Amino acid sequence: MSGKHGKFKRREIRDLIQKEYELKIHNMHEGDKGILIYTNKGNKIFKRVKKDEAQVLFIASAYNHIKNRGFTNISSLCKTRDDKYYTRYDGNLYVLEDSMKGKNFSIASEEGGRKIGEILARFHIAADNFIPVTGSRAKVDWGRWIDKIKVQSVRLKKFKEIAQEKSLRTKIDNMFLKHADQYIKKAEEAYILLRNSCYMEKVYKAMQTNQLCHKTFKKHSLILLDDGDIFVTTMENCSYDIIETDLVSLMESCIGSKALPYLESVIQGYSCIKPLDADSINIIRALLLQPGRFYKIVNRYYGKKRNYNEYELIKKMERSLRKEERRNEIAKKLEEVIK
Amino acid sequence: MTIDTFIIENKQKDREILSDYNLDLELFNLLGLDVTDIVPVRNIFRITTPKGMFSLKRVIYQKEEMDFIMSAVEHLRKNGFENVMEYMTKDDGSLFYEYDGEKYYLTKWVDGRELDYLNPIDLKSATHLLSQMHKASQGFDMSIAPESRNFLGKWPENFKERISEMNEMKFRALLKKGRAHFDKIYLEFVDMCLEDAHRARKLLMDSPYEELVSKAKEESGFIHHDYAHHNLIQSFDGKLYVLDFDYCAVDIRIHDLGSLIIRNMKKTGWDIDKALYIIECYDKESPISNDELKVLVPFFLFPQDFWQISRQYYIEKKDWGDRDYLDKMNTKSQYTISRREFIEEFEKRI
Repeated sequence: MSGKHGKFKRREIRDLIQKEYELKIHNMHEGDKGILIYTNKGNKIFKRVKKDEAQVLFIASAYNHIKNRGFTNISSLCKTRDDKYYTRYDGNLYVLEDSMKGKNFSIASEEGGRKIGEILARFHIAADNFIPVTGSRAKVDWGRWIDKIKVQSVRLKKFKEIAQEKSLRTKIDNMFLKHADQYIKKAEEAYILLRNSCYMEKVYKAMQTNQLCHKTFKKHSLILLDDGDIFVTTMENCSYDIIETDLVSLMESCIGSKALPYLESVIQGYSCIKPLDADSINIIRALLLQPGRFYKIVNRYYGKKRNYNEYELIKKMERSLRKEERRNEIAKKLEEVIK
Repeated sequence: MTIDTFIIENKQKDREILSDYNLDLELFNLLGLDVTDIVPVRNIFRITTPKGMFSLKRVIYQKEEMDFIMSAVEHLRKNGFENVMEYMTKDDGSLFYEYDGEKYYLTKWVDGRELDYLNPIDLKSATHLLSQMHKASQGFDMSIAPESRNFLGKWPENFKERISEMNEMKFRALLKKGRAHFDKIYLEFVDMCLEDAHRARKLLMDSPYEELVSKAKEESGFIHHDYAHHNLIQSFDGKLYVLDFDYCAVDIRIHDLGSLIIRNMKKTGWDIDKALYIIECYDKESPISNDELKVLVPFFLFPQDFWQISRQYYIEKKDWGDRDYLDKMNTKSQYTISRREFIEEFEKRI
């Protein structure tokens, strides 16, 4: 097979899966998310996960918890004959996840916006009070944002000094300097907004209720089925966090310039199932304002992280600037919504 | 059974430790456990059996050091500090299982999540727990502590030794033909670090350090010495546990507090407010004196990270690969500048 799973040989995968999962494979082909497999027990995706066993167990028990609490339109990890949620191949861990036939979800109408808002709210209700099975390694992101944004702001200022002191500036330096002030301001604005929006109270509440979040509630994780239902997949990054972070992911991914008018319907859809207060909206705004994407790129350059290539970094920076711009537009629109 | 199959994405140090385990069926027979699963978790193995889960750890210290560690944990428990792991003793009361020239022991597996220092709620809990642990450590029989684990009064001497090592490493780097990138960064920062180290030593000598040492001798307590977030587990019923007392030692309590602050500073860009928040949290449980705050200054100023990574490169010659060394050196050398600014602000604010 070609592509990123090229190391695999078709026969090897077939034999491995049929043996480990006791399935009969009808057909298979390579997709963006992994290898799509059509079996006698439905469609599956076979994919590599960069996790250890304990982390996979956490993900598997998260899927099971949500499903057991009535949110059934969600994928799950298949168990092997040995009662494990993963199989090994070539020194790596692979999981077999349920999949469905359909297309990636996008918001194309008010109704679509409301629907996805409702689904996320239902997902969050099913995902609270989550206690993983013994031996899992929990992923926890509670309460990190205040420090994260503060660090962004401090380090962006430091990077600006470094760039300004350079006698011979590169194209990256110039690009950075052109936007540095704007994003330092954004980071500071986001920091203040977060502090003033009872962020820590929300964190405390989420900790009390063991609230689990999807963390990549984006269009590629949402399959629009032929009957109009939405099937939720790709929970590899799920973690304990506040629900607002999932709303941010959803907005970033599904609200482009065309879908911007439907932002309000997403909020309405969510709120009619699980009410959102002004603090929640402000937390979402703060998380959209913080220049995380821009920071990530410049940190790789000035923070002297390994593995960067100047040409690729410029392209990435251009892309990050576009994304920041879009996030900014969503944050502005949200401000209008709460007014 | 080969352990290679179990080891994925563990950190380098953990990998080195895990690779020394001899996970043979005979060992499990010796443990008397019907093992259904073995999973590496950091530097231990988690063993699943019908009787429950256990941590399997290989003893890498001398017997007297291990006795000290066990006594320290037992002492905490006796003093009402129940937030520690439970050792699994054999029927005859002994703890160690000897196999193939190595010693192993079991503790009950503590299930939960690791605390996260970036979460202010977790950080507060961790700091409170540290002060409670220090209180419970008091009244320990110091005669059990081997010399290698007693740091009381030794800071000036340690600072001096490390300064001389930094000088020695500087000459090694200078004499090197065809200097590597690591050497160049080392030479770029070593004078600045030596200056900080000398100043830290001078500040320590002028500080009330000796008074703190005398007080600590009276109180007879010990420190954890590796109070990292991954050694703190919160079970899902809310109980906190301190794990891994392998590095515990006898010293003044601000050694632990200072290390906790530095760990956090590295993650938060040397944020003075965060440092003061930790001090405040600790102080609420157990007041910190002005003398202790003064001694924290040289503790913060000494370029411990820079000395350590250089030592691993020039003296211990750890087999890490140039890229790893360079990444670490890049990060740690950058602390020098941030640390100076931090100390300046810290001195003003305290």
